[in-house]
Amino acid sequence: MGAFSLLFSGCAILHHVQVGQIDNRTDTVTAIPFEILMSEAGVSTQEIGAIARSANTKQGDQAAGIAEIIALFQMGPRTGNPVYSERYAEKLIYEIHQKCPTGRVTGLMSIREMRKYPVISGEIVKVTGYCLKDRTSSKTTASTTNSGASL
Amino acid sequence: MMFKKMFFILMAVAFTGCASVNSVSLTPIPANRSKEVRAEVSRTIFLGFNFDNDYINPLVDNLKMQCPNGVITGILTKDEVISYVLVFTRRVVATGYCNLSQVSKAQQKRSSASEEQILEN
Repeated sequence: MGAFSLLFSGCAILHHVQVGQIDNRTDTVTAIPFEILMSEAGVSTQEIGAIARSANTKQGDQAAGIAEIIALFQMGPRTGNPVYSERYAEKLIYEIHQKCPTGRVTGLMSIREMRKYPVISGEIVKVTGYCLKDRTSSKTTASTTNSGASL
Repeated sequence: MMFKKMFFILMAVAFTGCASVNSVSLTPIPANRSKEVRAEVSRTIFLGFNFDNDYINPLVDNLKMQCPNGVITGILTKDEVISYVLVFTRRVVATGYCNLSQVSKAQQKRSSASEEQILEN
């Protein structure tokens, strides 16, 4: 049971961190924290091959051979395992806009990380930041929503 | 005597970490670089067993605490690994410049704008 929980908990591997400009002027604005997570499943052909070979059968060897051929097409520098769609993080900018419609974003921290399980992995792009909102406008929106609720 | 020497040499080698840089990033550098701020987070990982990267989260808050009501620019983020025997330490260091002059300028602009409005009225 313990071995299974260890197997499926997945190791977290950090690839890249970047911190952007931080505007900490909070005299007239409120900084609201937000987090965006985008991920895609990655597959390790190397591990598939190793597992197939460990079966010690003819089919296992053939599968390992196929995995090695596929691995030849996945050469080159990269972070993490290959994914099916390389465009999984492209909607990030729209997600930021959704989380922060005012467009005043600060303290952006971009993290590229990976959750590693046997054979598969979660290729993750995480962005955390703060959305700046005017205190006066937030008060007015709150009052309008309250009035809307009363109606 | 020889054994002791060998032991100390081995220990020195074991506890001297090999450092490698994973990634570096930099944001635009300000003209006023008088106040430097620095934040650091790290985690020591044994045999590669690491189940989350949450240790990075306080990095931005640490920088913000050092620069109340200011703007931090010129942030150099360095992600590095220091490897020992069976253990490695992941360290993320962020250094930047806290700029309060931008704040005073913005406040001056705001106050002058409000004065103009009063005069117009």
